[in-house]
This record gives sequence, C-alpha cells and structure tokens, in this order.
Amino acid sequence: MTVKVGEAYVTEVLAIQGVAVAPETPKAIAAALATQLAAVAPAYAALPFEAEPGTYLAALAKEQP
Amino acid sequence: MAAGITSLTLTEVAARIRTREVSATEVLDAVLARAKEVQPKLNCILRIDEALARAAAQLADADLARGHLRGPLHGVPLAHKDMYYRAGVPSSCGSRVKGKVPEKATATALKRLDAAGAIQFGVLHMAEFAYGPTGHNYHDGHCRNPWNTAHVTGGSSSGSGSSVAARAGFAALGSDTGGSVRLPAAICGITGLKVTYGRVSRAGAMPLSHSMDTVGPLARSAQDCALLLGVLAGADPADPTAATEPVPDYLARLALPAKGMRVGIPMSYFTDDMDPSVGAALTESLKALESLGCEIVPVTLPAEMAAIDVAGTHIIAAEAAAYHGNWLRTRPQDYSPQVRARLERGLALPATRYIDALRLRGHALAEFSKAVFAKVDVLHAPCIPIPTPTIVETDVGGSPNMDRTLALMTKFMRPFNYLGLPSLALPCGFLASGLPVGMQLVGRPFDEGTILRLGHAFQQATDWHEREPKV
Repeated sequence: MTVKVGEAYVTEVLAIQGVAVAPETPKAIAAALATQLAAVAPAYAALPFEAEPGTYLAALAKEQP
Repeated sequence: MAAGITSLTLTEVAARIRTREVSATEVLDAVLARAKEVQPKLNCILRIDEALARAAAQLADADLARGHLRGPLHGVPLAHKDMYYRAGVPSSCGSRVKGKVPEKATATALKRLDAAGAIQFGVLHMAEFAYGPTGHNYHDGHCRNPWNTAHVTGGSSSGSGSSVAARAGFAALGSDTGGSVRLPAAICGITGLKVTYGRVSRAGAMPLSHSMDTVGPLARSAQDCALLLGVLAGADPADPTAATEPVPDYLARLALPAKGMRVGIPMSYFTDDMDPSVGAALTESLKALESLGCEIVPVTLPAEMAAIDVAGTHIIAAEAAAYHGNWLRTRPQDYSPQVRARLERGLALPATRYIDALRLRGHALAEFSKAVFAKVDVLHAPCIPIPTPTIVETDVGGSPNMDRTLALMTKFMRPFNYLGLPSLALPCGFLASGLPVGMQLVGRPFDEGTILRLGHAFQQATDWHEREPKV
C-alpha cells in the first residue's frame, strides 16, 4: 500500500510539531514524499510480518567475510 | 626539504618525523604556510590554532629527542571537519546554530589520533550540519575545488577534501552519512574511506543520522587510509554502536597481492545516467585491475536498489529532523534556507514509513550480499556518473536541473550507507577539463582490509592519486 501524503497532511503535521514554514513548503514536501513513497511501497509490501529493525545488525554481523 | 614536505603522504611524513629526518616543528611550519597560501583561494579552513599546534609540535620534538615515540602519527599535524568535539572548544558544525558554546568532551576519534601522536592544527570547512553533498555553505562561504575553483568540492566533508588535495594537510577526518567522505574524496582527486557501520566510534561526533553516520578518513592514498583506520577503529565504551569486531592489521594486509581477487561490475543501477567521459575512465580502471591479475565478474544487483536509495533518504531525513526539531521550532532563522528545507521534509515523514525503511535494511543487506558477495570479493562502482558540476549549477536558482544534479551526486553513495558496507573512493582518471574522476571499491561488512588492499594495489600500478592541483 502506498501511503498518500498530501499538502493538507503536511501542513497539519508541521503545525502540530510547532514548526513554521513558508506557504509553498507543504506543497513541495508533499510532492516529493508522494513520489518517494510510491517508489518504496512495493519493497515494503514484500517484507515478511516478522521483519523488524533489529535484524539489520544481525545481518551485518552474519555477512562478514 | 621544506618545500617538498607538504607533497609527502601521511605515511611518508610520519616515517620522516619518526627517523628525525625532519622535525614536527618543520612539518608544521610547512603545512601552516601552505594552508595560509591556499585558504584565500579555496576557503577550506575554518580556524587555525597556530599557537597550540606550535607548542604541541615542540613537545613532540622534545619527546622524540628523549626517545619517546607516542605512536604511528607522532608529530604529524592534521586538521579535521569541524564536527569532532574537543572539550573546552566550540564546534560550529558549519552552522550558526551551534554558536560558541565549548564542548564538554573530546570525540573518541580525536582522542585516538592524539594518542597516536597526531597534532591538531585547526578545523575545516563543512556543509552546514553535514547536510549537503556539494560544499556550499551560506554562513562560511562556499568551499572551492582545488582543481578548478568554479567547481564544487563535494560534501559534506568539503574542507577535508579540498585541503588534503591542495596539500594543506596530509589527511583529515570526514564523516559519511550519504557520501560525505567519498564525494569530496572523488571530486577532489584523493582517497576516502567510508567504513562499515560501527567500525569507528562516533562518540563526540556531531550526529546527523544515527543509523547511517560513519566516521572516516580522507587522505592521499589507500595506504594512508589503512594507517588511519588502524588508529581509529575498535570498540568504545562511549559509543554502544561501535562494533566489538577485532581490528586487523590493515597495513600488513596491503602487502598481499591483488592477483586472483574477484572484482564485480554491476549490470544495473550504477550504469544509469553515465556520462561517456566518466564511463571511459571507469573502464580504464577495470583494465588496470585486470592487469593486476583480478578477475572481472559481471554481477546482477537486486531489483530493490532504487528503493534502497529512497529508504536511506528517509532514514536520514527522519533522524536529522528529530535531532533538529527543537532548533527548527525556536531558531529557524539561523539555518540557511536550503538546509532548513531539507530538515523540514523529515518532519512530515510518517513514522510507519521510517520504521519500514529500517525493517527493509536487514533484508536488503542479505539480498545484496547474496547477489554480490557470493560471487565476488569487491564491487567496483562509480562515485558520481557525471562530470563535477560547478558551484553555480548546484546553487539555488543556478540551473533548472539543480535538483536532478544533486540527486545524481548522491545516487551511487547512499545505498552503501543504508547497507552499512565499507567503500573506498579513489581517483581513477581525469577528464579533459582537468577534473578528477573517482571510483568506489565496496567490500563485505568489516572487510575494509580487502578494499584497502585492492586500492593500494591499484595505486601502485597507477599515478592518479599522486597528481597535485596547481593552486
């Protein structure tokens, strides 16, 4: 599933965090994030349920020469 | 002798100080003179601590006269990216936000260099908060490429790349979160090592993205990087992410031949957007490796490479935004508009997507290792696919292609931060414009020894790394 991040969401989430931005900023952020999130969606969707961040360090150790 | 001192490599100058062929004070004099000569043209240095360095050099000479050798870098003057904290001294991190508050503790990397006998003579230019790939800095002025001052140095370790290439330093610490050691090394024609995630302690180094940050050296050769890594690497109680893996003798491994090593060339992703002139230099580098007895093996990369790059971008954006959240709320005017805009993006990334980016990481490393390191010892890859752009082309409003140019500069870098793999960037040719071209040698986790060995063999057979810019 692609998470849809629109201008209204970005405006709200920045406001909630108390960060004041230029009027054109939410639109630019939303556009960039929409493209990027669509690009990674298939890879994330294919991850097994059990995958969790800690597996990275295990993989790093396992792949040593 | 004095005139030639700054052209020596780190390994060479350390040996000459050790044998008292030249004194630490003479070396410092030569480096300071060169630094002052190039600084007006390159803007690569933020501060020189001359009096402190002179006192330290005199002490080093006195120690040596008494027969006391502190370590492999005894008396060698070095300056570093201004994000390695030293107790009692402010670190600007290339920003106006950090101000002049003295740091409370000294970075482990600096402590290890101190213990090895090195003398810090100053701090170097960097991108604001290490969050930029070009060497632009709107607070301190842009850093300049010693091969052509109209062109970028690469970033974020801009001053490290520019000063070491210009012979105003023998080596320097940089940091690499998305290419910040390898880009300035490749673009300035020197050698830079991005280490395995966790190989070098990050205690006392400014954080940008704790899941991706690495500390690494920029120097004039793979041999110099091996010397420095031997000093820097290893576990550290002050940094729980510093790996406990044994630290091999990197210098001893350089003596092993490259013959018989299997070198992979990627059949996808790293072939995208390749400028023919850059591609030609990379092809020549493969011929040199073949002449050393290496076997060149085409490898098919996982289909996820583009996703890996985006996932890495998101981890950096989210973690950097978290670090800077308080300052973004209270002092937004103290950031340059460019860095502020990059940080603001991270505030809007949904938490679930950040976690997914972290969840994909172990799987992606396993898939990449299966595709690449089951077949070869080292992956050969370009650093950037295009000739080095100018400062104007990569400045805001300087070119309609600015965003694409910046994306191309980092596209081949960030995947190895995400995967956590070590990568050595080194010069492999020059374009007709006189600008250097760099290549990457990428290794298995914690196998810096193999990529340094191959890089050293390549540099024994070629002279690209010995060329000096005329500044």
